Amino acid sequence: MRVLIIIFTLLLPCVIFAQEGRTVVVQLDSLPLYGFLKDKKTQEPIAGATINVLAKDKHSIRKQTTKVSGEFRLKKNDIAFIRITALGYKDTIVNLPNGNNLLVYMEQQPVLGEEITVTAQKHTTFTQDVPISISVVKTKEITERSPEALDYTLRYIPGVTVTESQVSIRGSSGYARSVGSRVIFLLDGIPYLSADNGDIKFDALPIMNIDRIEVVKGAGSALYGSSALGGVINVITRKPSDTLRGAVSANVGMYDEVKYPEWRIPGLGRKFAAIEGGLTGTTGETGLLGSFAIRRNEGYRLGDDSYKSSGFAKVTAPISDHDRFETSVLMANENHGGFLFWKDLNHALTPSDSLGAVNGRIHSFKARIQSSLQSILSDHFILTSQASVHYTNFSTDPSEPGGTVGPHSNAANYYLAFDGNNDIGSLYLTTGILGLYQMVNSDLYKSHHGITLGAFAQAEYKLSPLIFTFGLRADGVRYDDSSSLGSISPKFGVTLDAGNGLNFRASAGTGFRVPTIAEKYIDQYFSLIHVIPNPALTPERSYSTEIGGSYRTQSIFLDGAIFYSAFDNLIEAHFVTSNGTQSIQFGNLTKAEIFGHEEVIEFYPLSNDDLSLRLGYTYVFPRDRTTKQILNFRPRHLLQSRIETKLSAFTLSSDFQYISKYESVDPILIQQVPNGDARVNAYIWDARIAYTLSGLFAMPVTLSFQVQNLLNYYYVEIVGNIAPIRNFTFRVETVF
Amino acid sequence: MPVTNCNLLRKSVFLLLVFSISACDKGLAPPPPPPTISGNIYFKGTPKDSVQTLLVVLVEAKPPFLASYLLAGAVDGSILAASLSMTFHDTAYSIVVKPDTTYNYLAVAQKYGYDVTKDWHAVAFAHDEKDSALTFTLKPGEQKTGVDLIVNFDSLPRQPFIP
Repeated sequence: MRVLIIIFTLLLPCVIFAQEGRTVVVQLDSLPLYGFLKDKKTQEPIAGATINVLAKDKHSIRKQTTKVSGEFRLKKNDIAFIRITALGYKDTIVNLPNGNNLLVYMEQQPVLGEEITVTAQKHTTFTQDVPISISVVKTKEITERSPEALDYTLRYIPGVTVTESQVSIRGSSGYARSVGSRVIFLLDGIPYLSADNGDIKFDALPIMNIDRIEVVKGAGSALYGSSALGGVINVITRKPSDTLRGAVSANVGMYDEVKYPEWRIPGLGRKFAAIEGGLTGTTGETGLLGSFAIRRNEGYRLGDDSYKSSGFAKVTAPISDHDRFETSVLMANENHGGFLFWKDLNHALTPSDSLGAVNGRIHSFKARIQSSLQSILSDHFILTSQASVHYTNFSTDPSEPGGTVGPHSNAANYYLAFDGNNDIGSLYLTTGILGLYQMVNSDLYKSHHGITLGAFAQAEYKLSPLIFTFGLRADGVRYDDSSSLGSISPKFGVTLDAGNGLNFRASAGTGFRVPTIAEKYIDQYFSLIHVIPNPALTPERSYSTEIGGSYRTQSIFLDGAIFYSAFDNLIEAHFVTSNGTQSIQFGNLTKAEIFGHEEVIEFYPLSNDDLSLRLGYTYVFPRDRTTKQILNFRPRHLLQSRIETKLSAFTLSSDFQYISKYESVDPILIQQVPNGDARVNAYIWDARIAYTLSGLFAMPVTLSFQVQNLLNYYYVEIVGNIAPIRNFTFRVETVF
Repeated sequence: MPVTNCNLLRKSVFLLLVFSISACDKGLAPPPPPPTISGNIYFKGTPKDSVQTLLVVLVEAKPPFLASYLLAGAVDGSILAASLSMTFHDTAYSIVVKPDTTYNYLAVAQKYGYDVTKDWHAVAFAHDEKDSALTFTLKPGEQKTGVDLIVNFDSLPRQPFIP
């Protein structure tokens, strides 16, 4: 209840601000022409389309944007035509009607492979108009893999690797014991990182209700602030449906028996199952969407099983013709074993006696509420107000029955932001201010709080065929009563539309990451080694540049980029001598640089989506600028391929990944973990077949069977941890 | 489908198969068991000296060497040793050795006095028909079995020590 009150309080100024905006539009009520814009196929209103009012000689007199209801209002004086443009639709020109009402239907213009993005520039735009590399993953690819958590899906995005739960874009991040993220992770545009560890809670994300994932590759702090060192990942949830719709899916599966007798664990179940369901609809003008998921996984390793449950709900409502409110809530509960590292390579699926916690189960709870209010304040200006509360908690059982309980942590983030989008002819301005308050109470990190304030501005200037982007952001961060840390993050970019589907781009930007409360203040013994705090930690910084180009036709999409990033003050754990004993501490240690290139090919030979192929290759050369050594946990080669084909009611798809062996890993981990240096190239092949039964019980039922890690290839993502072995999943799904 | 598209599709599938085949090594595996030399020790006769310690020793150095090397070698790892029971019943032994390392002398050594640097003699050693000491170089995971030693306290073998 307290959380709801806080949210209401946070949103109050937004509502008041929106009311002020409405008065601008009320002045238009006396205008004589009322227009409505709808989708020709779905009959749904089209919001945010540009209405360009043209004179007889077709020069533009003025512009405005359609409201949430698809409505627009115009003065009839001097108008000869109206040109309407909206992303994903054919441009439409309408003669001025004699009457006072105008209903316009727009026809969808699907272009295979063409994508729009809202993440790169903080407003909707085509990916080719963005001066930085973007990847977009759609719903189908996310859900069809039956992932237990979303991080599994991220592994198939070109240039993205995931080490345990830490995401790296083009080698920007290694593995830092799940503390801190060098990629800013957003849920519907709002930061989704925990207040204590600064990590991503993948298990709480509503897989069934994710519309798409957008990945921006390269430093993005000029728009998104801290953590956007290597890039931005934005998970965008679905919008509620106009009609009542639902979906239910269930899957059961099992891990294969491991090949080597030495690794086998008698009595281990190895089975897993999940059930998910969701419902969406609209009552009046209020859209509702909700889903749940319950998962049980016995695991393929001893002490690595889990029980997970999660729920998600979203409400959207137009408060007025000009204001659209959206709020969503998610909760997740998890209880899992404490497998940390293997015992040794002879017992690769058995936890270490000293470094694991077989009996010490870990309980975690996550809850989040976030709201946004989009207000069309004038024909040219849209204000988006956002607020969120992100709460995380974990506790650990005693490692032995009757023993001392393990560590716990409670943490919360309170976030409030106002973004403005101002469309002024050839100039598009995006501005914003934000605040973040962090609160942590933990026996690992003690009690701390932090506050972040930021402001940014970005200008996109269209000088056809060029689009220039300039951006600047200022952030200040303060923990407890320590001195403030500041950062100024500029960026510049340009795109060139060379015609015939050929586009070029170039960009330069900066990133920074403020050390997490965990990195600064951790004070705990792990396996008799004392990890000590370092309040003097300063932010990591990055500078990245990219030059790229793309070519798109109806059947092929080619994209290539070369990039260079430099990093200063990278935070890593290292041994220090304190009071005559060796301890581990996080420090600003590394100056690094990463050079690389990335190529993506998408091919649609049948000019529809009945057959599609995708191949992505990323090469990175990551090295320490001081020692010239290769950075830890960065694979130099990353190859990802996907083939999908439809044959009647069958859909077959195959994913293959090659990840070259880490050339270097954390020497502290090698010292702690027996056979910690054991690692190989990874070859991961997944395959699936799905069959859709139409008309059964008046609703389509899809049956699918998939094999993950078909080659049963044994590899590690982090030291002393065999990645998931071959497993089989049978899934039934129906939508109604 | 146009012919060129079919060719591209075939090439893609071929590339996928190449990667799949190259992945057939299964990745990580349990490390091979350490290389081991093993056999039986048979006892004959009666010890003439007091037997304080009885060891199977595997020595990297070529004989002859100083008796004190038994101690120094055990410390620096160039000598591997396994204790034997002093009941003088026939027994089996097994020594884990370093892979790709040549051992030039395998023997049963008896400590008969209190000076650990001097009071040693060999009571059996592995040798060929010409009484030359056998050498052993084992690869990772290699198991050398059946290397039997016969201890005859009534007739001690040629000694490896520099007097």
